[in-house]
Amino acid sequence: MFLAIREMRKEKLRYGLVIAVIALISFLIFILSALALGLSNENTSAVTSWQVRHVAMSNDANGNLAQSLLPQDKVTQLIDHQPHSAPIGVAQTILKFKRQRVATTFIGFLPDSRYGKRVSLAAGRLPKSSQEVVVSEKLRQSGLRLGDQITIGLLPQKLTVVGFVKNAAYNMSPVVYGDLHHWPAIKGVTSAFYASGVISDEPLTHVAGTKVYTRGALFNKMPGYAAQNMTFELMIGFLVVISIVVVAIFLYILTMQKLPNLAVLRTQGIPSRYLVFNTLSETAMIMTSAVVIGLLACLLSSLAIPSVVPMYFNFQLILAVGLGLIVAGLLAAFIPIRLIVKIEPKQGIGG
Amino acid sequence: MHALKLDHVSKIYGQDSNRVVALDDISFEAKQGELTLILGPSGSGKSTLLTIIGGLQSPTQGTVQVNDQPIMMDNRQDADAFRLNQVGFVLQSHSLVPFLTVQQQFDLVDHVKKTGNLNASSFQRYLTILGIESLGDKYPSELSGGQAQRVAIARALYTNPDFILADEPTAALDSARVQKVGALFQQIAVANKKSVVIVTHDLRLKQFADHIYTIEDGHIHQEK
Ligand SMILES: Nc1ncnc2c1ncn2[C@@H]1O[C@H](COP(=O)(O)OP(=O)(O)OP(=O)(O)O)[C@@H](O)[C@H]1O
Ligand SMILES: [Mg+2]
Repeated sequence: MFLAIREMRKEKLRYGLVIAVIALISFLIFILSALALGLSNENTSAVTSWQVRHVAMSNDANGNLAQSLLPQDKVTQLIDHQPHSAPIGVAQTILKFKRQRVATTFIGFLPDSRYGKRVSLAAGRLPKSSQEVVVSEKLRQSGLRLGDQITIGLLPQKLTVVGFVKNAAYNMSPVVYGDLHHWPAIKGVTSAFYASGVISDEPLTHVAGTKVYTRGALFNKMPGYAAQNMTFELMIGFLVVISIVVVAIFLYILTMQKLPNLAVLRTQGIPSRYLVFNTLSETAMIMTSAVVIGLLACLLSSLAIPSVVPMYFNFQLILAVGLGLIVAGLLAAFIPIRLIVKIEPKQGIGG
Repeated sequence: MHALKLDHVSKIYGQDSNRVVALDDISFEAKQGELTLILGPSGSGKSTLLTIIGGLQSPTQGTVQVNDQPIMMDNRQDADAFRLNQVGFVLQSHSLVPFLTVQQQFDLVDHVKKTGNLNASSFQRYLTILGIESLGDKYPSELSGGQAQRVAIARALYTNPDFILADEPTAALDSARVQKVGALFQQIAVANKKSVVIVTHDLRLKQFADHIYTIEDGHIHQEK
């Protein structure tokens, strides 16, 4: 520790550059993880806010709830003897107000549905009649206000916005929550169809012509969701590997440079354990300061990034990523440590 | 009473056509309170002899004894501890850690060897004799060759070792300083009851030695 601190103080420029490079990489990793999480939330936040575990829909929808159509009898069979289950209507559609048009997802619950009540309001109140809706607070940015009249999908009548809801995004679009009875009209299907599916926090029994998905499977079936996540995971994984390689190269060069001095210390009887621990603490200091700088830079730039870029900071994820980077650095320290352990004390006596 | 004793020691490097007999059947003893000088030209085997005396490598033949005990080379920790606690090395080059100030070179020793180092007053006295008492805040790159050499000598003495092993300690010093350093080594041997072994080709040190050996092509013979 003593040696590490002195050396970093003396060689400020050298270690400053090393820290700067690793801080940049960790900055990128943080931004990418925040983006990945932000984008993934844009797909999942609405479903997550209802706290459902299982979703049943028609076989033909292939896991895409927005494409599923269920007639009344199938819904009745699915919710029969299942007090926790509730029908849901999902329609990807256009919302019109004040000459604005926004792509949204309409989600209809029955007026007394437990799941509809689990959404968290940012402003206003929950609907009291089928003429009222609550919408994602994101729509405020498009100019929507409480009390505004909206037209949604193919529904002939206008509905009134009475509340704004947090965490209301479904498959990349803001959600409009309303009455399930409007769903066939909004979607433009005959009233022979009653709902898109049935959701529940308990396992659902199987009904012919339908299929039950877990919440995770539902997300993975959302168009683009899995590909998007995989892309980010790959990028982050590569960046972690790159940071390991960069740290290893830096530490290798720094250690090579002072090898003659380390050999003299070994000659003088300073145990290699001491020198190894010193390298480890030096690595830990480099990585920790780089990660902290990267994190600060990430937080600062998140203030500057426009809000249409979805970024989501999850404290646990950031902690995990930061610790992962530090551990990766300590793994990379294995390379200089090998150099140190291999020093023969007699090397210090030159000539 | 401590002593270092080499008994019929030979060191052979390489094999067949690369075979070099660096040391050939060397017996000698460095006793407490004495300064032993080993003189020899370049390539004569001086550094090799020093590494064997200091427990840094084993001889091909013969034995090395410290205080009548065979030196422990098999266990790395024991060997490290022997060098740290009982031997002070003054080396030819790179002796000082480049990113530590002169004062911090000694602080490092305190971090690794927590007891038995010089007390403040004897340390200060050595610094004054060596003429480096005002260099505490300087980095090695800011020292002259001679100053660095003297700091390295102080560093070797700092652990208060029984044995001082020096490889060309006066190489970078002018004559006046050689006289001072020679006298210091002599004083350390006599007054502080240490065994001092200096390998060098600097004949100016002869006057301070209790025993003088010359070494040539691995053969040693006693001159004084
Ligand atoms: N590791 C080694 N492998 C092979 N030969 C060696 C090795 N180390 C030393 N030698 C040889 O052993 C002989 C003695 O070398 P040594 O380094 O002990 O000489 P020296 O007296 O210290 O020389 P100098 O005054 O130049 O430092 C030389 O011929 C040298 O080439
Ligand atoms: Mg030599």
